[in-house]
Amino acid sequence: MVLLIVIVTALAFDFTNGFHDTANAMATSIATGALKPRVAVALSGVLNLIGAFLSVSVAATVAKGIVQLNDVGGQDLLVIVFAGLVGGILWNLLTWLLGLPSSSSHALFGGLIGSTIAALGWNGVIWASGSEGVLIKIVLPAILAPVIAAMVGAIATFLVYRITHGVDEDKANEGFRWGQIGSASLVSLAHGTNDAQKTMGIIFLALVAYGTLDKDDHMPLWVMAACAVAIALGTYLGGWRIIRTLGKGLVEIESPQGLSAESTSAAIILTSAHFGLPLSTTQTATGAILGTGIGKRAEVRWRVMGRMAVAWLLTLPMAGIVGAICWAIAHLIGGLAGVLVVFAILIAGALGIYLRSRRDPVGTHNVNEWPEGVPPAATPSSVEQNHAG
Amino acid sequence: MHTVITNLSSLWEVVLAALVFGAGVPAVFAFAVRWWAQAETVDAEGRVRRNYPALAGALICVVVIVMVVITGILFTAKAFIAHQFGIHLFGQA
Repeated sequence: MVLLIVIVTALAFDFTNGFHDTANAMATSIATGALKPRVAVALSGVLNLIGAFLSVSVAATVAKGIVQLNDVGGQDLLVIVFAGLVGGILWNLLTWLLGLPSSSSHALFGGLIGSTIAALGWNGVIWASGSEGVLIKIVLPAILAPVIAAMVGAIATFLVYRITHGVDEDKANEGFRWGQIGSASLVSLAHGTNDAQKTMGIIFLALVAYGTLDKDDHMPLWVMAACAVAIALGTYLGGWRIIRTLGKGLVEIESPQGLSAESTSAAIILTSAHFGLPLSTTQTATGAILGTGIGKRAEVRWRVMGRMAVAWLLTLPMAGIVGAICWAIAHLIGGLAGVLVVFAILIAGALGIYLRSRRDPVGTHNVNEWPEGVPPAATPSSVEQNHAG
Repeated sequence: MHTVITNLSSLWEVVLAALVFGAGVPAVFAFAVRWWAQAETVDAEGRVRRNYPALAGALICVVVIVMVVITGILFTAKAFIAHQFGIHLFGQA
């Protein structure tokens, strides 16, 4: 029963991961009109589905080197993982409500770290030891991802505009729209490959804890399929709030910039994992979009970027605190009842956030309208912007 | 500290790969767009002029990109393909 709840919760996290990150791949294509919103999310969903099957190399190492869970087993481990997942989901939903593209992986790791600290104390978490630990695996990549992506995105944008300078604009835009569709598809594929696997890894961990699987077993196909479907459905739902922020809020995007941003994201997401320095999908995509604004010497709304950076900083600790609280509740009540109570809290929280979101809905109809001058996403005047920059 | 330095050296590889693929591919694509736009022009008297070298250049660029992308996907999926279908790409065991 507890195992079942953990698996359902893990798939729910995968689902939030999907709609939280649709923006990474599709925000620029929707913003430039290369793809209609509905078509974009459908395409992205299908490619996430395929991507999830492509590789399991990330799944094998999820949470390894971050939390020390070797000494706990069975029910205890399941409760820790469960509380961590709840922390991750609630933070993902909250940032979605605010339209902020925060890293889903950080939410997941934050939740797990929090529940591990609550259960095992500070020593349950590997902070920094050798090539492992929070510092090397999370903090360092988090600082590097947006910087590298912004730099490459800026260079790509500069080159693209330089090369096509003087070319008939209509013709160029037509060409670049096709390029955008291709590059955005690649990001979707890369996203499925990277992010669906994190949930697979968590479910695998739970199955091992329960004794269904052995540590050295291959990833069961049903786990892969379930995660692939969950992330694809989430993607198809579309996180319109975040799509709007990334597509319209940060910089005004034209097709060539969209192409540059997506190519940069796809290249970094796919290659960085290969070199053993996996960078966050969300932070890479955001950095790349920011970079295209710099590369074109266009206006960048630094205040929006600032809000995102704050959300990035808070993701790990906040998801951690929620994870820790959930673990404490489940532990105090104990057993199945404790898990059920936390599960009820999760559902209530999710419902509450959903109802709040209905007051100010963002969907296919208004995804390309950035609310100028509306707090809290108010656009600063140009004078203020110079100071902020 | 030692491993931080190891990580920083892999950082250079990441940056290099990101530059080659992340900025290189869009640049090649930009050339494709440029030549494609020049491949067919209509002059003042309404005559259509075809520029075959430009068209060929555009096509070559597109083919290069498609090959890079397919290679990249197969490279990522190599373990899965080897496990499911027994086909060993890129010579790994």
